[in-house]
Amino acid sequence: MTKICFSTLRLVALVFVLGCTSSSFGHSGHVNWGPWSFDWEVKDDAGLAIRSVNYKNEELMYKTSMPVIRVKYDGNACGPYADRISWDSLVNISNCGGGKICQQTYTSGGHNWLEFGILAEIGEYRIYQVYYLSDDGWINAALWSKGLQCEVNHAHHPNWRMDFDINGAANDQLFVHSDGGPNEGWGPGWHKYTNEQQDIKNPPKNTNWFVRDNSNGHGAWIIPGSNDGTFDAFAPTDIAARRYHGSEDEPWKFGASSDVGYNDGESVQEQDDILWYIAHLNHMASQGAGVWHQAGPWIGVSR
Amino acid sequence: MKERKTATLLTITIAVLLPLLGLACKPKSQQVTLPEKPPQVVRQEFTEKQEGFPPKVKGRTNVSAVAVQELSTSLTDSLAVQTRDAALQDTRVRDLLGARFAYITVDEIEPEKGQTVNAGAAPITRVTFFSYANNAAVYARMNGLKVESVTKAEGFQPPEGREEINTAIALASRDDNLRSKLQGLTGHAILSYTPEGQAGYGHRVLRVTFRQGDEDVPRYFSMVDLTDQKVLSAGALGHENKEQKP
Repeated sequence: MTKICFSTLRLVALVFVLGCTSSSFGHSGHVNWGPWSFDWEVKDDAGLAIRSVNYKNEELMYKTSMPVIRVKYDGNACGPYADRISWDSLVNISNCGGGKICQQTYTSGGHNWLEFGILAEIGEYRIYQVYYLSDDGWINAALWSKGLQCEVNHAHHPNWRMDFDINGAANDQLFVHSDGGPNEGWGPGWHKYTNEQQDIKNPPKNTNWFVRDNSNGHGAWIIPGSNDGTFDAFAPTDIAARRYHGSEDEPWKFGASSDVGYNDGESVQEQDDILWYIAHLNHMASQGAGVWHQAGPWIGVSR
Repeated sequence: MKERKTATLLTITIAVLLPLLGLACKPKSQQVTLPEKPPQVVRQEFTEKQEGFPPKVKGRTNVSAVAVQELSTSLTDSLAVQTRDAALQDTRVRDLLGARFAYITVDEIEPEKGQTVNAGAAPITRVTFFSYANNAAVYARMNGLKVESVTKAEGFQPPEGREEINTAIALASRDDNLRSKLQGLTGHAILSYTPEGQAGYGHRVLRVTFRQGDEDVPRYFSMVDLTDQKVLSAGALGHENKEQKP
């Protein structure tokens, strides 16, 4: 009798699942624009990823994605949350073509730009994840957010995972620069990361990061955006240096309350490396739910 | 004379070999010079709330929409459904799912960097479920329509699936505290990680909110425990801690 009951329940569950149609798996495409070419995808709940990114016919990135936006409300009034953007969470963008992907070009500040973004709806949040690419070698990886799950101050912590493959995967070097820092042999203010580690920025010292290929010296700047905030107890990291492992390129698995993992102290010197960049976007409830906030780093090609 | 010749030869050999040896032993970091300071970032100014969301760059010109070029993937709509169905036919998968579960998503598992996929090969995919019966995520690794392995990940919460959102909204809508108040409101739901010590801790809990049209702030909320299929709390927004159910 029990066995029949279980079989019936399973069948009911199966029918329920089969009855639901879904298209939540990945979508991908390709963009050629000005000096840039790249593939894109929305998969692994990691938002809009750009991959095989080339600038002036030389590879810059293997892939940049946004695996999670962790959210913490004061006093745990609601949440915490680990927002992950999938194709299923996307909505049509009414002020940019009406589709699920916004792709448009424009001119601003004497340069041509490409805007490439997706709009997600997760609970009460409206999230616009976007890349602004300029014809002179800049990418602004940005996140816009608005909405309140409950009327309490909170902070969003978007995590970008950046895999630079300048001149191929190997021979990456990771540096941090702080104004007024000592000269360790790389020039004033420069420090080289030797092993996997977490680090924080020091805004008065204009902390920036630089990824370089050791063979040809070409590199990329990672410059914090002006609204990228400061770390806190919930999200105590601004940047995490990691060595590439294919098995660690996976959907976010650290929940809402944990920082990025994968730190086992491996060497990142002249290896294939990953940088995780974390912004801290504060939303005061008194500003209302309709106010949008923006954060995200600038990535600049250096050759 | 011969000794002098040998000494000269030795000196020349050392003189040639030493620099070569030095080059070979030099640290791997050959590029020493780094830029003195970062280049100036061109900041963009964006439009305000009144001009719609997402914001646009102020004063931009030559705006032109570009058609999105989507590539065909090996994991098509119909293949994703077939893959999910094939996973559900597998005894190992069904055993880990138990009687109550939700389908979350199918994703293609990409090969390691540098490896290529044979053209025409069946896609390697991961089908994600959440088992309410076992309160755990369940992953089926598929090679085409064949289940390669099944794993249960206790304590891991994949993102909310579409059917979970619908179930949570439906449960919240039937709650006594809300049932009569939801006319004309639309429901939204988000996966919530309940802090230790609160009702629903460790369970699959979604926070449901109900809003009218384009209002900025939702009017009502409900915390729905999908593991136990029950409403934990519900009420007007701002009354979260006053509406907790026993």
